[in-house]
Amino acid sequence: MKKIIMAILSCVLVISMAITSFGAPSIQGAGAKTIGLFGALDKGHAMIAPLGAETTGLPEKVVASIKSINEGKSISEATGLKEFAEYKALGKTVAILTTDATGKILDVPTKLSIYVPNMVEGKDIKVIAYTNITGLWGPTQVLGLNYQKKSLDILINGSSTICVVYK
Amino acid sequence: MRVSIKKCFVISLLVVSTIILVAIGIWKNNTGIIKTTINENAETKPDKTYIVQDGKKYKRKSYVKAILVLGIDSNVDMHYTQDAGSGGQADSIGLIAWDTANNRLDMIMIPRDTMTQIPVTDVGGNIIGKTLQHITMAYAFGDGNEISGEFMKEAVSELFEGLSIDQYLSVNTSAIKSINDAIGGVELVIPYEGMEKVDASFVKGEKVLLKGDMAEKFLRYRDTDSDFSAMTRIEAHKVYLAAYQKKLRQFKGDSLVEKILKEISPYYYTDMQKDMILKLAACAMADESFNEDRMYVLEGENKKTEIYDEFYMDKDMAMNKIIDLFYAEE
Repeated sequence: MKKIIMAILSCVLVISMAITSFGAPSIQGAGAKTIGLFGALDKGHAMIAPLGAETTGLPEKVVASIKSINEGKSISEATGLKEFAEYKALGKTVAILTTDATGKILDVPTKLSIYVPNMVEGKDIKVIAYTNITGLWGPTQVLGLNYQKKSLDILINGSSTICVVYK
Repeated sequence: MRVSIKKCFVISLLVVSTIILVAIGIWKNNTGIIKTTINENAETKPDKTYIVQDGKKYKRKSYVKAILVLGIDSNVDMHYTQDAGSGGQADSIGLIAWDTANNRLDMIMIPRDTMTQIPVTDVGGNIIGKTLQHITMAYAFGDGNEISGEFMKEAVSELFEGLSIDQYLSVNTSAIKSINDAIGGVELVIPYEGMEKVDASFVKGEKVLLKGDMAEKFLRYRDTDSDFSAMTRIEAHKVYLAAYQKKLRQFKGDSLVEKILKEISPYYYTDMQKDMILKLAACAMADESFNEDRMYVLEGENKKTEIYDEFYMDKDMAMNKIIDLFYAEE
């Protein structure tokens, strides 16, 4: 009896060790952001939030919404913007910080030119943003669009997390 | 009877424990795998057996295989799919013209910043369409393995007026050391200034034996403060490839390549069967006259934009080369 128990226990131990090593995660590289920032326009100042600090200080619910958008899930469900039900995220969200000339954060209306590498002609392209000072999601004003340069000029109301969407 | 019941209970308990452990292991393993977000393959144009250039008709030489070789800027296990947009970029792009009838290799080197129509995807992996973009990004918009390879084949085919690309082989940076050291290192002359920034021995004009991490440093170096540095880097790649092939000719048989493939297994991805890889390698080992002159860098115009360098291929010159390598006049 003792011998049987020892044999079975040994098998269980070997199996559990094999599973542990089999279940170890593989090495993955960092993903690349696709949207870039050409810069602020009309003497404004802005920068992309440092890597790892994109959602710093944001409410948990908003962080969850951003994660959902970046996983390719429904824009309208993530943001509550029902008019964007048919739109999909073109690229992952980008956290923009508007600043003064010294680099200190200053939440003022700022015009930006952003780079959208996968912009395709013929698509209806819009930009939505979560604005930090209002705590709300909403469409941003698109001032210009250049397919050749792959640029979008937009107006944001202070530091925001933006997402370029299309249908 | 009491002893029998007790025995059965203990054994049952142990079996149930084993089943639970196996189930936990399976669950843990599956949650670690990144699921693909790509849900469509790219469009591929019908194969072009014939093309017309300057009023002349040319037929594709079926014995010359077009093999796309890609150096990917990533260090991950390439057998796991990546999210769309995160596949890594094809920093080194070579189109091999493998003349299987005459055992000869030629290569067209395509600058990574070549502007051409590439398939692009959204965050969810849906193909949006095609857009004029750097050819290097066609790989990034895929899944880091199969779909990325297909996107690159499509982009290169489009670049060369519908040339059918037979197969591709992608290798990432984690494979460089193994490939290099498998032949005892690669000896070459440092081709230009500035490389000493990554290794003090990389002085222009000096002969250096690249071993270990040196090979990756040599191949990846570029001065990103200088315009069109990717074009300069291609010259370094030519020097390396010529030196590598020259040393490779000392080896015979399949065992070396089989050893390399085994060692770099997580770090390459291909739609070639193993026997084809071995045949291609055998051709490389036997081609006594392969040198830098058989590596043709696309000619064209470099353009500087606000954020990225762009390269516009001279179409006539490129197609003349493509026709010379892959087609015969009817």
